[in-house]
Amino acid sequence: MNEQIPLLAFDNLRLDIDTFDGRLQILDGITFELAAHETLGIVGETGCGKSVTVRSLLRLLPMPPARFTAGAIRYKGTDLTKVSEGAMRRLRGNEIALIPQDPMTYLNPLLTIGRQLTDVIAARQKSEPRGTRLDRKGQRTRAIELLTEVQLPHPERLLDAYPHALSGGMRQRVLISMALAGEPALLVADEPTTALDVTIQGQVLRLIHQLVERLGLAVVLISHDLGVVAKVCRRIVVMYAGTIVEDAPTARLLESPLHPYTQGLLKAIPKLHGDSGKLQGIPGSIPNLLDPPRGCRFYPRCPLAMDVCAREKPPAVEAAPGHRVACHHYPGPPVEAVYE
Amino acid sequence: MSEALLLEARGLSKVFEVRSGRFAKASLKAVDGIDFAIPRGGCLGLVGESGSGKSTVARLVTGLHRPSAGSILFDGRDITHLDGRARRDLGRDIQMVFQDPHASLNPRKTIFASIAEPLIIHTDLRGAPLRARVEELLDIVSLGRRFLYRYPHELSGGQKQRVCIARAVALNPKMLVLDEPTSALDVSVQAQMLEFLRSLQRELNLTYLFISHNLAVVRHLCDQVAVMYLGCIVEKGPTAQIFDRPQHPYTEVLLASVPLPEANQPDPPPLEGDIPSPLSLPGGCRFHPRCPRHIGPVCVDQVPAQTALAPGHHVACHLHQER
Repeated sequence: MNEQIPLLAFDNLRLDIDTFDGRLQILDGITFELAAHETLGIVGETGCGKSVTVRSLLRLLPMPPARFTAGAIRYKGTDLTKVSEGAMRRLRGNEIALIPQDPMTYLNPLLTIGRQLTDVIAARQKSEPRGTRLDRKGQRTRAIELLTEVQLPHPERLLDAYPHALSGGMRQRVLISMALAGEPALLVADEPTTALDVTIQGQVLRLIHQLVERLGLAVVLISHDLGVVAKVCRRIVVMYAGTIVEDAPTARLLESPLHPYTQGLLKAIPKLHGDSGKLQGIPGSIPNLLDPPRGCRFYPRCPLAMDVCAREKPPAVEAAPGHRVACHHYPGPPVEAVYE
Repeated sequence: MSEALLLEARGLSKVFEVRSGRFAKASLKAVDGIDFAIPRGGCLGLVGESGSGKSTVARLVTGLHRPSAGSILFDGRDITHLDGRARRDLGRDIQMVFQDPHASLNPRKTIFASIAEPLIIHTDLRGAPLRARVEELLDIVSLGRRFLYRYPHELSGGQKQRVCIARAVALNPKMLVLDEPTSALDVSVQAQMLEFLRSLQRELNLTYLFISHNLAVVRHLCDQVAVMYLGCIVEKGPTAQIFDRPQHPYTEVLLASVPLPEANQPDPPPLEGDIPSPLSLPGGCRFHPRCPRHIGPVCVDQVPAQTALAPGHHVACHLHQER
């Protein structure tokens, strides 16, 4: 692969969804890049478009009613918004794999773990040259390898178990092993630990972290929890109402956030140690995406809104090396938003 | 019971009979002999992972389940075995707010009808005074009267939760049982909700039993904490003490497992395995199969007793009984 081309690049992607009430402008110019072996977290609240972003990357949205209206998603230089469904099928799993949110609903309750895992392995065999494909026994051995990889005890016995016999944490590990089956270059995790208890969440996050380091995977991790993202990712992108408001290395974003929304989000989180004082929420609610604000989509809730914010969309500017922010206050000295 | 305590649970247990296999029955000990007390105007946070029994405790306190053993005292009165009318009247004093505001409002009733329902059942308010009281309640939860005749689907999650709270405080209860009231909300809305619950408590002189798996939220709102694991309270005491110097290995691990929005966090100490099934509880200390500070056969054989480390700070662990 050419070193100059990033592994993944969203280039001003716009996505609309037609509904009976009109056209929802779900994604409004999403731009970010991901290098090979890089870990990126996408953070935002309900309705900010983070799940739609990864679903459009995997082309898992029903089209229509959804449609790309502008921009491109380039994976190793190929525009995924233009490739055929057949080509997309070959990419899913083999190049880009998904770890879903809810481990309870993504496994078929009527089939054993072994059957479901070897199905995935068998599907990957189709892209192998004829002579090197694994037979049934080989697939089973590979399944055991994968379950060992995700640190599940007694993998041989697990192959004959049904999903109901497994805890949430174990099921999520099985789903991670399925994602690894195609030896992907990019792992997409959509809220992978939201359904899990906190001690189990710790185990799964550590597993993802170890796998990423050892296998050299690139990761896009989506979460509403900044803590989860900070644990796994080197860089964080903050989304609000279908736009990217800030994009920075993890430590920088957490220690010196620039966008008023990011600042509000961080101040809203109660602290575990020490007194958090009075918490500041962000008054108001997300805009109606049928008729979003014309300028900055955050301006109706922003305590620092200016006249220009209502009129013009703020462009993303590089406020510091690797730290991009989309706000009319920049470039300029850092501002600080105070919420009621 | 001292005058200062509003609610006291003594040796509270709940055993569910469940079917295991075709004919066999098994008993599931959801809550096993726990003691706790909440002073008037206090806020006790009950934390624990799934299956720890915290929601069962909430349902026992509000009378949705009957305890299998033990007793609950409310305002100096034993309410464990109340029946019929007496039980119903207790609803005036103890009210509950549920986890999912989307599921706890009837989608076919207006906000007015939902909030008025407890008033119609328990009081003689009708007509204009009823409407006035509902409007007053909407003001208390900062929603305003324009919401009176709206339906739940027109409201956001945070607004629905405020309606649920207005309904819960309609009868001027002494106590609110809040079962994960913010876990369905976004963090910016959660922050507003927590500040609102704080001021509501002061304004209406309420006592809270607050159930959550989110430790940071409990730290922010509660003055006392009880940590549950598989139906037992492993540690309880003042919030700041427990969060800053946890004494039970489980509390330690639980606190260390919370991912913080900070760069370069230390990795939590490894906690092996899953929470055991409450149908086949480990003997001795229930935490011993996963405990990183296991000290030998005593943990496997003997149930650790509650030891007081400081006034009001209790821990059930053999590590602390050796001393």
